[in-house]
Amino acid sequence: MADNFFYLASLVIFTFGALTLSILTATYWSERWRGKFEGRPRKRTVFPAFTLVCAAVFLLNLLSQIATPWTGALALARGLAASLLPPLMLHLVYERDLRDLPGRRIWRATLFGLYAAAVGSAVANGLDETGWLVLPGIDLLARAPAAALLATGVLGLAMEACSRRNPQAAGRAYRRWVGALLSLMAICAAVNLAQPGGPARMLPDYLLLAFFCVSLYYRERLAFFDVLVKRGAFFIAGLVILTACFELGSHYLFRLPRDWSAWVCALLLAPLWLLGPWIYARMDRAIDRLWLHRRYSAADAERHFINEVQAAATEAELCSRATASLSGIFRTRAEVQFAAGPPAKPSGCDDSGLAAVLEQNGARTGSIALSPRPDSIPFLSDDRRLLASLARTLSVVLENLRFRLDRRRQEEREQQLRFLASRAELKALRAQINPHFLFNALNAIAGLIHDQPALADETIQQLAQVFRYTLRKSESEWVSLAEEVEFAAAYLRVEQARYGERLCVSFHVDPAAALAAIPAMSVQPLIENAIKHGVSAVEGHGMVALRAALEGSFLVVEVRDNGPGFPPGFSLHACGAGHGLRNVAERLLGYYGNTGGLRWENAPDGARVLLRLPLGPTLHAARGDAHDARADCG
Amino acid sequence: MRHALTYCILMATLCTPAVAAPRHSWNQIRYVGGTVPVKPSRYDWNTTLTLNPDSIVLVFTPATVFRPGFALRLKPSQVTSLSYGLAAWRRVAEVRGAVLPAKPPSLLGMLPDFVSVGIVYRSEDGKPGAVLLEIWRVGAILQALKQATGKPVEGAP
Repeated sequence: MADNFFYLASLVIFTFGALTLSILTATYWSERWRGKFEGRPRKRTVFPAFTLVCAAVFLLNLLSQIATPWTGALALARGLAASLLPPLMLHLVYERDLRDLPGRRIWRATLFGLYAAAVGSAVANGLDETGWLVLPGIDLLARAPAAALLATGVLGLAMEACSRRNPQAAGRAYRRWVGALLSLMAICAAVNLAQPGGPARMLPDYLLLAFFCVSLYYRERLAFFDVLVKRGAFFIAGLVILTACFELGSHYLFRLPRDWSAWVCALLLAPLWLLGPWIYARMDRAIDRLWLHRRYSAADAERHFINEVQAAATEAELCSRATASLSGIFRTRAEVQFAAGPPAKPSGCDDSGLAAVLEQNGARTGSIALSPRPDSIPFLSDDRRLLASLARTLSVVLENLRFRLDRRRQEEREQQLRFLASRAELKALRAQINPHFLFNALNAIAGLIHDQPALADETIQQLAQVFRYTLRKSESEWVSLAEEVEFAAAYLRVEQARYGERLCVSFHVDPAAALAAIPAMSVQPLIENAIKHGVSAVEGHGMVALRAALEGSFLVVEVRDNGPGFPPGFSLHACGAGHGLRNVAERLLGYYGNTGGLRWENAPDGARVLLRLPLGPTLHAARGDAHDARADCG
Repeated sequence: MRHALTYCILMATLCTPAVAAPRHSWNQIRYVGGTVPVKPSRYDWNTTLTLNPDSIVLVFTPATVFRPGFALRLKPSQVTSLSYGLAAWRRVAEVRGAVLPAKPPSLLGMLPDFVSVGIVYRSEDGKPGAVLLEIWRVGAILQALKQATGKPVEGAP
């Protein structure tokens, strides 16, 4: 049972190790080739040679275990290649600590002595195995591989101890790993020297594989390492589960009728196959948390980031929110720039930071730069993918924010333009009203001055009041309803002088509405319209009535006359429509937007025009706002 | 001085095979499996092979206390085949009654596997028998076995 278990475990581990070694070597070289074509700078190192020798030893060893022809040549080649691995390991340690080693010459001589001894013993062993040369004392040489491993472990540990380097966090972790692996290797080699054979014979192979992985992770910083580790963990878990299932179940499977066994196997495998994605997701999350210390999964990070940035109202706020959120997600200092220049390089680092570009319709709109992590965990492929995704999200949010800001600015500009247009219209209205009014009034006074000099005198005074009001309020946009009504009354008294007994006037103003602020000269045009198109068209008595009252949060001003009413299909913009009503309607649109308005209708006894204005600030405040608006306009 | 020392070491190394006496007995051999009624062990390297002109003697001495040893004596003419490496595993496994453990694969073989040598024989009563041995250094043993039995070694380099 124990033998069976050992055999199965060794098969599982061998499969895993073989796949790991093959995939790591292939991906390392593909990255290296890609770097060559992209013109990335290369460090001068023996690591490529180490990977090649590892691959060669693996292939030769595999061949020697499955092929019978050329056994001697295979054994010689395999032994020769395998003998290079311990010195190459030591060479990698030497290369790392080269600058900080005292007595560099001695170390170099020791290293090349180890190379020579390992290769010499391998050649002698190979020649002996092939029978080409029989050497006495060869039994001792048979222990040369274990001795070389022991020497590598001991010398590597001695190098680490002698090195004066005080490395960064990443370097410390790398040294710790290498130290542990060298120690284990030395122990295995010592055990093998003392007691050859046994399971400890295979351990150095896997320790070397671990050294390969650690070196790849810390030295080469391969971005896809996290994916490899996750897939590898999932693969070995699956391999162990399947092996255990078949080993435990085979006893019962063999008892089943022949037709049943395949069906039962499929039935056993189906749940495992269905559970695969779930298991992988859990393992992925566990590895992220335990090894890479990632706080969020990719989906959670996206959600968190969007929640953080979507509430930003300005670009500066978006920048600060994005920076804070990215710093939290990636556990390092982040820099976000909204500028079209080249991407910012992560500060305070060499090439171990990470950067991403913000793009909008193919044009660069900014960049994100992440500094290296303080805990030395490199940015791996999941980090790169997440940063690219967050950069795309940030680009969209930035685009949306800019669109919103543009739209708000445009609305403000439109409001401002409407305001300016209202002022211009007011001035135009005044300029338009005065000549007409003056002409009619002077005609009326001229008619009265001989027959009714007192009335003429009073009319002149009312006329003076009207012009005084016009001049006094010429710079004011807002007046109280009471002032406007008083102005309208003076105007009507002048008109009464003209029309005489024919014109009847009535005013009903709610005292509560008297102080409401309304745009200047918004009532008088309605009165003028009533006289011009209503009273003047009536034979006999004409009537103009003004009523003002509060209705909820609105001020309603109603002007009625007993004229013929509005013609059918009347429109403010129709040709021949009065300028007065159109002016008032457009000014109200400028001041109130769609909340206030002008409405007209035909009543049973004439025409009715309604002003419906929202009750805004008091007159004082309204004047202040108008003053500010003027100041803004320059 | 340095050159003289190098020369001396080189000469000593080259001349040693010429003056060394031929061996007839080897220890540090492990019994892996076969038809011999001895329980194999991964740590048991006490098997001894002695080649005489008229006999081949294998002495299995288990390291475990209270386990009796066993000696297999064969005449060279009883040996039907000699095999090496993977061929040895195959030949021994073909013999009826032979018990062999599963052989776990090694990834890189940094500490090299021992060489396997298979001896298939026919006992005095005509029954087939086989032993699979793991040997540290195989070159000299193979030469001696070939000379003693006059049989070729299948799969040998």
